[in-house]
Amino acid sequence: MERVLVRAGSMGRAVGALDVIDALNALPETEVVEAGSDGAAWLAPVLADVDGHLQPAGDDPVAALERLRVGQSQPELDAYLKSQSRRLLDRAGRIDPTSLTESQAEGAYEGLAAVLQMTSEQVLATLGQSGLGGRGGAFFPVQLKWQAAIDAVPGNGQPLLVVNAEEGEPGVFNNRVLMESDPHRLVEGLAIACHALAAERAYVYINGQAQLSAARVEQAIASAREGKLLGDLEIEIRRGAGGYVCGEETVILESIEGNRAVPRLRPPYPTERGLFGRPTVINNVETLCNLPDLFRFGVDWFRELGTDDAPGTKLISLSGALERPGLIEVPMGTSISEILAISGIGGGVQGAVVGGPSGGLLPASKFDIEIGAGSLDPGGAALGSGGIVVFDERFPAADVLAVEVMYNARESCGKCTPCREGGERLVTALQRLRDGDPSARADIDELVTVMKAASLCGLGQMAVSPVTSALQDFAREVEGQP
Amino acid sequence: MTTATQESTLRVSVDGMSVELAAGASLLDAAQAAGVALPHLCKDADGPALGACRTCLVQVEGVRGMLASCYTPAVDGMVVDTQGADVLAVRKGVLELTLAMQDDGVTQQDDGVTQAASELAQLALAYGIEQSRWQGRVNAHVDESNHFYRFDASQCILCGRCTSACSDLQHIGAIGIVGTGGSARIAAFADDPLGESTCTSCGSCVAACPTDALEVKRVSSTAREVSTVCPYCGVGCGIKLGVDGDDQLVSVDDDPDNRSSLGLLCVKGRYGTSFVNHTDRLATPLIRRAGDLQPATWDEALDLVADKFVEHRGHFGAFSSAKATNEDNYLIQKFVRLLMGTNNIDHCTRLCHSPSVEAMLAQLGSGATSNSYTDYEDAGCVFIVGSDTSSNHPVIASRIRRAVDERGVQLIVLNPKRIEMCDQTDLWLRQYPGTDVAVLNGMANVILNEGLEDASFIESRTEEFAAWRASVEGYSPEHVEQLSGVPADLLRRAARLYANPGRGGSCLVWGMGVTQHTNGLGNATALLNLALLTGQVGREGNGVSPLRGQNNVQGAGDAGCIPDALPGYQRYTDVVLARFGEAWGGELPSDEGLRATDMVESIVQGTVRCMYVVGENPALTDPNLAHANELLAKLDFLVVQDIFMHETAELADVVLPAASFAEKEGTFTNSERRVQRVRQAIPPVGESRPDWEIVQAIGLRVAAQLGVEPKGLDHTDAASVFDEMASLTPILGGLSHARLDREGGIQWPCPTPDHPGTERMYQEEFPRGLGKFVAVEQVAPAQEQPDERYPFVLNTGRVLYHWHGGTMTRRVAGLEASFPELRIALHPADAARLEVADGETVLVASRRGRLEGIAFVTEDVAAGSIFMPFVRLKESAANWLTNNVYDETSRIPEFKVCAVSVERAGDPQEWRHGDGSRRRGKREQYW
Repeated sequence: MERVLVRAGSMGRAVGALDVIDALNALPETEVVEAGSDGAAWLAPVLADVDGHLQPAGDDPVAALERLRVGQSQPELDAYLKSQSRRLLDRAGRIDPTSLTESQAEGAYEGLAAVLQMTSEQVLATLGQSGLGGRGGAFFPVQLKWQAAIDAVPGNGQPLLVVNAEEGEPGVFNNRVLMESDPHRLVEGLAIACHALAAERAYVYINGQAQLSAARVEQAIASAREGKLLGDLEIEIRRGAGGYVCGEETVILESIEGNRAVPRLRPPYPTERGLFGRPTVINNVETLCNLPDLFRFGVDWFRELGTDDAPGTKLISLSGALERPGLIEVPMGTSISEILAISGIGGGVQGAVVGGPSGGLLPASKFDIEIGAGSLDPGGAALGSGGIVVFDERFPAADVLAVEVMYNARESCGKCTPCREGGERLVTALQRLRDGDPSARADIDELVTVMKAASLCGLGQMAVSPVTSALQDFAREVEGQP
Repeated sequence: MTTATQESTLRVSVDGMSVELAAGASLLDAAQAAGVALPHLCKDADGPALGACRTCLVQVEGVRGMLASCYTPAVDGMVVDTQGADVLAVRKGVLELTLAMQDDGVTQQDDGVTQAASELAQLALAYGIEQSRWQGRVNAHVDESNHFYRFDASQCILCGRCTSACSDLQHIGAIGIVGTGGSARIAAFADDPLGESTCTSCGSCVAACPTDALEVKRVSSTAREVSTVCPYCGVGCGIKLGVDGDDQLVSVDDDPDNRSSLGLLCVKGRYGTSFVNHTDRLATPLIRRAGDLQPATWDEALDLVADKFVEHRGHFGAFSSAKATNEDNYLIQKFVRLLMGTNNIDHCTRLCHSPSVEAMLAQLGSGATSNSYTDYEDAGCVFIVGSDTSSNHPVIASRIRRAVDERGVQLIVLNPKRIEMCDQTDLWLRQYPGTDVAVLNGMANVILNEGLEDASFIESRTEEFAAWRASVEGYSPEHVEQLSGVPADLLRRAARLYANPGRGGSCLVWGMGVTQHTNGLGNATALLNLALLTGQVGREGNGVSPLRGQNNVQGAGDAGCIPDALPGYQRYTDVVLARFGEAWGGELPSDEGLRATDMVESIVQGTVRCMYVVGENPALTDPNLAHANELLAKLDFLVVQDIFMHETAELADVVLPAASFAEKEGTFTNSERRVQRVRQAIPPVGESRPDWEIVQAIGLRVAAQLGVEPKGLDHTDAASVFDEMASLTPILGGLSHARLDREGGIQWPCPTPDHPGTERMYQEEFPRGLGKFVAVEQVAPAQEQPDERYPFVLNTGRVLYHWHGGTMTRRVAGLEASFPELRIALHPADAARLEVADGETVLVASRRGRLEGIAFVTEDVAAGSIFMPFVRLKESAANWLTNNVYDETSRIPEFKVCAVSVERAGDPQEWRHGDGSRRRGKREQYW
């Protein structure tokens, strides 16, 4: 029986991976396993044998399998994977994501085993030394967040953990790939967090459209529980009902409690009184997926990659005008141009949207900027959760900006005036500017000031970032000049 | 509040001014303390901070960005800047965006009709905005579907105050903000018209709206406001009557300072007082001449009444009024006892809580609610028996809903009909009508078998436990399931929860569903046994609450309008009689008088030949109306004193026009024993007079004819009447109008002027000493059982939009329009069998009468049962059908059960609202 893994995931399925699996299943003596994506969306689905040889399935998966049988690997794909620093993506595509045994054979739950021998204080101390920052975009030190929840226990009850797997930002698919390809990494990470927090219950809030993610995580939880890896920890999966704002952490709390998806007022901060009034830690999937290997290999290993300020690696979702769009993992501190080199930047590139609709438009001239925590450029570009959408001359910057601004206006939850009203006004004012009405500039400046200063949550405050960055670096295009 | 009353205080500098604040204060509080007028469009003074309008932004030294002051906690030492150029500019920018949501952003001037320009308009002017820089994005949607208010989206700024009032204050959630971005809007579920939503028209949203988006349809200008008490149910909500320059009542506002209602109101309280100025008000006395009631002078009428009363001494009876003040009631019973020489004085308590009062007197020694409304919030469990709380005591229902939502209080509902409160629980026990004793004894059986009783309470606070214990042994849950239809496992869950709710205690709340049965006393007794068994009385978060139906039914009883006791429930002992005789200057009768129901029934024997009916309408509210009307018509002389003509007044020989609650001074006592001031807002309509003045005038004439000189019939104001009552009534001894004016409502017992009043009774002991267990058995569920000819059980009750017989609410256009027809709730299976469609006219008949109504097909009633309210609508009234059989001891009629037939009477028609619009969307609910 010959075993072949079809690296699919939702990206692969979108281009016919299930047909590929059917075709291969029809072959005699072939064990076909649906693995998750390895991130190489540009070649998906990819076939892999047990020795790690890789072949894109292409139009003729049987022929691709023949090439694998003779030990051929696609060099471009090998190079693509080798050029990355694959820690979180280590197992992605290499294992059957529904198999606890295969995951464990590749080291899953070793970090948890180590953590279970540690006290909460020791875990937090290690976390503090690691310098791990939240991967949802704010890069807030994870140790501080956890400590705040622990400190709030007197009077507020035992903490709860909420996993932010909403990932509603256009052009970002880090969490999806993690959950689809290696769900046990997430389950292990959240178990580590719950141990350190003495949380008895965790909620995984998964985007409503991410069906495969939810199925894989649910299956992983069940098998981990069956494998007696989770003790008494209760884990509940909750699904978002759509909306960019649903990724805002307090919106998740409202949504889980059954309320309308609007942000809460801070204070109190979730770590003090969050879900159901309990101290609540909300961590992104990618953040938690950093934990297993951190505790498996230690702080020194963790800090080998990345910068002093921002140690570790980062998943980057790449799309747009690229030769090799997909999900890659690189050390923090890698420059945008290095990242784009992995993904194959073509000619005519004007710039990139970095950080999604809350980030900015970064011109190609600034691609030497290195990724790190916080703002990358005064104009507004920030790494955020790690989405980069590259645009070339086929898609003018003013169009890119219009899309971003319309998106933000539509996705405003409607609760606070500046974001709800300002967002709509901004769309019109930008169009006026582009149409050559110079008086629009003052209106835009007014909206930028008001929305940034007065909006209730990050969505509104940062909805102007694409505008400020575009006005800084693409002024001519935004003003409608040729 | 910014007063430094709490232990820890903090100091904050606002624009250079240092202010002291209580811990927990917000920066908005700080600004207000410093006298800085910060905008706060989404922050209602009484509501939670919403953080939505973003107009209250400030800057704090050392903190990046701008903070919304409404929810940012003040921290000791903070330096706050509200007037920096940056923050002023941003605030103005937000205001311009907000203003642009209204009519293209033009600042609205005071239109002279509403009280003042809206908050937003005032702010815009203050920030120098005449015209917003933004235009062209106004939502033009207008919703007129509610009968009381309109929603005009072109004025809406989406601040969320209305949705917060609906959800966070009333806990109804009929409206919310739906949609995102530019399509965000205030809407009901599925964008249904508000009139078809779950909105109960309480008006909290309208009161909270800072613009004219939500506005009462009848807009008027208020010249002055008078704080008083709502004239409807026994909750006793504080209201502020708005009066215009022509002395007409034009508005009602809630009173956040009222300790019983906390600023909550229901539709009747907020929109139901316009009956006061209705053209139907009785304006002059009427005397029957040549068969017709004709206008007469007060002297003519009073002389005639006095003559006839003197003539009929010995065959006289009087109904006093639970709608009248304590002062009115006190003087009425004094007149009846002192000058008419009889204890034949009663009031509508006979038709509502007489079994509760009898049972409580027998088992505890006092007939009043033990706890305060706050105990529902401090409880772990509230057990609602035979009470449709959200229809009949809406504000208590709101407080219970809030307790459920915010404090995790668990509800148990025992009711044969599905009531709205069932939405808040999964513990609804639906018993067969009239089988309450079986259910309650069954719960006691479970509690005893599982050892959940409160042994030390039983030991130290009760007696006759052992004998009673034996009486519930036969009520195993399985047996009870057979008797009552309540599943054994639900019964067990309910028993366990009631006995041990986990935190706090359990409150027992009940209504007419318990009492209006021939075994009403048994039902009430079984309830009290349960409370004694588990010690769920006399502590914080527990208690026994018979919810009082009328605004002053508690007070009418307190004032002595019952046939078996003088004011303050003082029995006819020699000492008591001597004391009252001395004070009143005359001999007092010592035999118990006739109860209301017996008074009417005894007309047939001629025992009673003359009646004085104040503020009651027995020709509509007694059971078996054909019979009751026949009896009332037999009276030699009937005097009716009321604010409107009604069914009973039509039969009267003399009709005396009384002043309404809004036209007199006095006090009402609510369901938590809180004595509250009623204040005159307008002069009496027409020639009407306060009840106490009328009865005093009659009394003086009667005394003159009898040649006696009673004391205390020369009162010149209500305060002096109250003082006399307090001097003779220990439970009210420490109260006076002056003190109530000073301190607000006070809960009796309040024996001395320095006594703070009593929040919770029976904490140490019961008035009778030990609480007494009394064995009761489940007897036949009702006197009349369904049979082949009359196969349905008829259950009667009330609805949110009407008040009892409807004399007042049918004269309020919006209330009438909200519930215009007699709806007869019918189970779908029965409807299908009878081939009756929803909205069709049906004919309902009992052995005593028949009526027509509109079928309302709903699973809220069980198969085989129908429900209708007893309000008279379209000339149909449920009491034409009900059975004039009575509980042996308390003499309450069996309003809740009789056998009827139902048949299709009319052609199918679509179910429609009063305005003709098709009903849809709303959960299949009766009201």
